[in-house]
Amino acid sequence: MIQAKNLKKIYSTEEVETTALNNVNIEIKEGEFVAIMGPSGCGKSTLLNIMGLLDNPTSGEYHFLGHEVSQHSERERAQLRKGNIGFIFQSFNLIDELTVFENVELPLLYLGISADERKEKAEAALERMSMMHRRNHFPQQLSGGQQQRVAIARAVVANAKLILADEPTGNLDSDHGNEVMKVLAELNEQGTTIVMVTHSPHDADYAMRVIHLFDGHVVTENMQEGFHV
Amino acid sequence: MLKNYFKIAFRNLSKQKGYTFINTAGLAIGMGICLFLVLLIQYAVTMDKHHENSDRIYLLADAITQQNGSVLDVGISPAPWGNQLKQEFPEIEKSVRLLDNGGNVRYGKKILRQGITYVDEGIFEVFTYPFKYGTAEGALSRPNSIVLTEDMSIRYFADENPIGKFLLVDDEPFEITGVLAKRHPQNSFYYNALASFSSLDENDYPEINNWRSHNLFTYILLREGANPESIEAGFSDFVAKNVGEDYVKRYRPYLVDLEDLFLHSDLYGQRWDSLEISYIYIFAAIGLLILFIACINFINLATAQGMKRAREIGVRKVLGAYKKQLVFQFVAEALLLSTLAVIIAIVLVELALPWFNDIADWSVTANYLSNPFYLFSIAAIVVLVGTLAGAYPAFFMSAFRPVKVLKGDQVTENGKSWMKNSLVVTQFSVAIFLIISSASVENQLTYIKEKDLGFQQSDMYVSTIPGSRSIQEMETIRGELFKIPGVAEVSYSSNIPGEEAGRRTQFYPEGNLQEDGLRINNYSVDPYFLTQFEIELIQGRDFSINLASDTVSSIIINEAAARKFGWEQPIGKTITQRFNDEAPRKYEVVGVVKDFHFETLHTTIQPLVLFSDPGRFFDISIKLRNAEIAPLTEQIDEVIKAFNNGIPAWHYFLEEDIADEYTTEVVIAEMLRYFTYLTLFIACLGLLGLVSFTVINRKKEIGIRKVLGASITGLVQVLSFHFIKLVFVGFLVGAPLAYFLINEWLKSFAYSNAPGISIFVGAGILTVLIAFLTIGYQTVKAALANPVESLKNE
Repeated sequence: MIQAKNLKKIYSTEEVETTALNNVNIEIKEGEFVAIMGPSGCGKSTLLNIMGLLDNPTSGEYHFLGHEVSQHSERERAQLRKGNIGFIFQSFNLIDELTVFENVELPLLYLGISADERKEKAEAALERMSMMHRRNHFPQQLSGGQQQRVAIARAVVANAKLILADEPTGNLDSDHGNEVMKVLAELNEQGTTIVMVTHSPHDADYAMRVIHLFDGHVVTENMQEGFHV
Repeated sequence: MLKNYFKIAFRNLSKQKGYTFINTAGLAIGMGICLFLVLLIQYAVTMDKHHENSDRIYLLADAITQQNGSVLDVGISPAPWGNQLKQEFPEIEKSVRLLDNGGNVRYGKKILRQGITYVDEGIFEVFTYPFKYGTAEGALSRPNSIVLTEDMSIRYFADENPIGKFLLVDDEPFEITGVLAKRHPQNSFYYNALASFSSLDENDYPEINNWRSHNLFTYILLREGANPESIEAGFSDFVAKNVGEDYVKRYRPYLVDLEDLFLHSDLYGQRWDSLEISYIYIFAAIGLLILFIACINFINLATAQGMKRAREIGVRKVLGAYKKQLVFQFVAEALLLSTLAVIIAIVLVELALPWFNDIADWSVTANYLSNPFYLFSIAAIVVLVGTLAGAYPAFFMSAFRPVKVLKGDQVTENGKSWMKNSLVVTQFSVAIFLIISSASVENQLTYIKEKDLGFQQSDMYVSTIPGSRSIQEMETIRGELFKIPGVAEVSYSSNIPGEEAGRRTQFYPEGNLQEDGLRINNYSVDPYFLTQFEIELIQGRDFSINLASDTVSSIIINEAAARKFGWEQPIGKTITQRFNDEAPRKYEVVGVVKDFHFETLHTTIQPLVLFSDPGRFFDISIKLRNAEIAPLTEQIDEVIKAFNNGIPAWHYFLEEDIADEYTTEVVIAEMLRYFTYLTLFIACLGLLGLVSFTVINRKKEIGIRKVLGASITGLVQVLSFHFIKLVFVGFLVGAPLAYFLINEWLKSFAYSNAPGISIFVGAGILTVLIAFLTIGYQTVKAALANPVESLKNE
């Protein structure tokens, strides 16, 4: 599903050049659950953004679903991203002015799906995350765990093949954090590919494979031995 | 999708109440002023266009070269010209003459003094005057026919149809052949009644056969497609042939388009309303400027607001929104807001119109159904403001990089602060420009009001005594008036200073042998006049009641006349006067008065000659003591009526009448004043919005400064200084501009009071003070905030 070859990302300002990723090679197959770990500033988020087609690498190749996308324009990346990739953020990033239902429905709007179908799909996604009873609430009326479940519903509503999660439990207490991790593990079991950036070894235990980054390099790749279910 | 946009727009607007208020109020005021001016300008430019033939109607004007070489543009022409022109120029379809005259108009016991206009019968074929009773055809074909305006008909007959009844105009019967429908409000000229021109007796009005006496209005209707310039080209031959070869150089007749009369004419003798076209340009510019600064607010606030919405934009992009879709979303929001604003603007216009119509004496209305241009303006303003003001923030916001904004990085307008700064500077330049202009106009009006005109105007009650009277009778009237306690002084004269220039006739001063003599204004005043009006006599003597010869052979001149004649010692010099075909008369100068402003302050003091000819004593001026005015004037009116066959006379207070001369200036001052308040308000709203966003953006900085030991005053200074600096730059731009334009405006007055430095300094201090008050609350609040709070959020 994902193949990255010699990925390089350099941020340059007038005076300084910072290398965020240096010759990163990664391959992720469909159905995998991969955790990316490493200290602050090691390039985890940069890698995730490139994988999520939110950013282009400075050099190197990046294949997503068989397309070489490293030089795609913003518009082309948006086109490919829609419906294929779902995002989950540490700070949830729900739109405060929209209700739970409207937030979940939003990706379908940009896909140009009809109102009836949107309703059906959004309700199904909310049902799956056990959030139907909160469909007309606004994000601020929910607990952090509930907000993240809504965010997950939004990520899966368009049947995304890939879910990218950037520290999904970072803003949650351990009970809510576990709840969210279980939901992700279930999604993975049902066939969704998940790539997750995390600081927490506990969360990383849910993944099949852990990639460690340090100063923009992949230092180790471990296959996990057993899974918490 | 659209629904989603509007839903989120509505929720955003209702959530950010302060922001929505600032934006909507500012836009509504800006749009309101613009729409208000659209209606005013539309009203002014369509003046007189309601006549069906308005594009083919012309006034015959004449540029008369005077003895001193200056050219006087007059709107009046000699009576025989119109008819002769029609005969000589086939392109002329019709020509009609209008001669104003007054008379005592009686029906039964009701007698009123009314202005009557004598017109050729073709008037209704030239102008469009719908009839209430009767028809235009043949209405004025016979002598002694009269068509009344609706107002005059109601005055005499209430709601009755008066057709066929007879009115006595100066005791001569006139048959009423029609009543005009209500006067169209956009008529720049007024009548009471139109009487057939053929009623005029050549013996009473010898001017109607005089080819050189300009005394009535001639309107010409051209045939379809005729070119006025080709007719004008033939005018000099016309003058040579009909008036005389000698006059070709003196008279240069030309045609003035009826549609141009209101805005483009400043003709001697004109009796229609007019407005200087430059006022239209000035107000159009002001309207656009105010709308522009309201748009600036919108742009600034929406951009600042956009930083708060960065996350929403980031999420939408991550979820697959294209940039175009986001631009569209934000422009749609701007359109929604501008629609909201225009609704308020329309209400504001409705509130402002009655106020304006009252002070300006216009009848501007927003006839939504019959005024497609206004509807178009409303729609255009919504779309224009919405898209233009919405576009910048839309492009700015849609360019956010989701990677950054979702990580919680502070979004800033890198390198764009020059734009925001220049917008604030522009706003305050306009505000300061308006403050200074408005104050300068007020300054000039106060100057006019308080200027010593060289004569007494307060407590002066003026009435008219028509017809020639013997000196004995006038003395009797004086005696009767003096019996009323509260009447201090009484005098007779042909004119009242401050109102009109008086008659101009040919004078041949001693030692000045110019062939044509000099045309000079002249009054006729009685021996009490100068004392009563406190006009200073600087040489010689006043007219004397004991010298009968004064009424026929003495004159008093003003200083300007003495200068004009080149006389150092005018007393004892002689002047010969020629008036029309009367025999020349010789007069001796017995006194010289100090120059006084017998015309408005728009013109310099001209030479003036004072006679004491009782045959021209039409006005009676009564100086009142500080007494109860109302019962006093009633008693005076009764006395005058008793001597005037029971006919009430015109009457007015001189002070009010002089003030009326400056109506246009007063209206402009009023409008400018309100525009200034509103502009300042809009500019402050904008500043308030910007400051609150700046404070939010600099919360962390404020927190850090506080932790490091900054004082409250120090922080307020840091936060305010930038804005005050911008206001000051605005002053540097706006003030010179105001100085330049005000000086141009003051050139229309012969006597003006240039704005002093205090107005400029005052405007600057006022603006800085208002700006400081506006930003003070926000900055103090920010400075007082607990730094723990602001740093935790980061």
